[in-house]
Amino acid sequence: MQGHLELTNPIPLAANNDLEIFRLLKSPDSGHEKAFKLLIETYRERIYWLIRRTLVVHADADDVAQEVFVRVWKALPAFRGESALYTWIYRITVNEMNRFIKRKRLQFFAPWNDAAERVAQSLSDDRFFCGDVVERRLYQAIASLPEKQRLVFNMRYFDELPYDEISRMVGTSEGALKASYHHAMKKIEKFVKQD
Amino acid sequence: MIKKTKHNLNSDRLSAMVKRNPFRVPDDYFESFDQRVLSKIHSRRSALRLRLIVVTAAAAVIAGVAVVFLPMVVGPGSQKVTVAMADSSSLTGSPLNDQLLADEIIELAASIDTIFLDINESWSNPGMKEISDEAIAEYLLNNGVSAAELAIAVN
Repeated sequence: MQGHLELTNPIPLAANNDLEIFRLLKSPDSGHEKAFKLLIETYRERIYWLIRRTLVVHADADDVAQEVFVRVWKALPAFRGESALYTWIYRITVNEMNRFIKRKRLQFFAPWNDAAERVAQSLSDDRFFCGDVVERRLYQAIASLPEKQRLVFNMRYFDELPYDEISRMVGTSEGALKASYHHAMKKIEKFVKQD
Repeated sequence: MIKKTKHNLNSDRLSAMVKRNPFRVPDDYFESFDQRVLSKIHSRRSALRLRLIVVTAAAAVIAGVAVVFLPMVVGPGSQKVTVAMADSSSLTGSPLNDQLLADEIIELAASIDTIFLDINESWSNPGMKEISDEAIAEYLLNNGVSAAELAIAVN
């Protein structure tokens, strides 16, 4: 089993690779496929871990991560470069996670406030989780947050993304994001201190 | 305020542990990730292509069925309308035939055993000419046409 990402040192934004991806995209023949492979190589871990921290279960995160890159593949020829590549991919990721969460909710007819219990159960059964009691409690707390707060918390706290970038990714004003993050922090502190 | 909150969490014993990644992935998960994505893309393409073939084949079958069976369903009705709308001057070469409406000719044909009139045949079919002028005159006289009117029509 692997745990690739040290969350205290997020992967630096791969601007150089982005330039190479754009160059390959414009080149004839197999440029599109080469560009796509480089794109996956550059972003797969960041995207996967963002999804994994939000959805917790590896199988779900894997499904959504693959779906994100399938969508990227389809949309890549139409990408005009009006935003940074990672902003664009993150936006697709956010949409895909929301779609997955809605689908799951419909599937199980489960209100989201059961999420903390479900996550606790998932983590205790998950052989790909090797955290201790405190970490389990933290991820339970994160799962109990409303979707948007959870997303903002993950992007800000773990990925240490600046607010202006998160704003472009999720389509919310910076002020609203700061408020969301603040509320999320308060709830998590309260949740963790409960026991 | 936000910084202070973050500081509070960071200062807690919890924060030292929470930024460590407690999640793991299966061995070689990331190394084989691009292959899995590409194979998913290719399998979806194949599925789409298959769906297109099925839809095209279904459309062709429906069109074929329509071509074969549609004339059977709407054929006689439409031909009857055409007969009714036909210009009487072009119906046959006989002046008496030209005085008759299509339905009357059909009725006449039905009353004369020796003559076969197929509605599906065109009005210029030689079969129509087998009805003699005498037979038509007799029919008209039996059906209320006066001898004077008949003479005017013949001339």
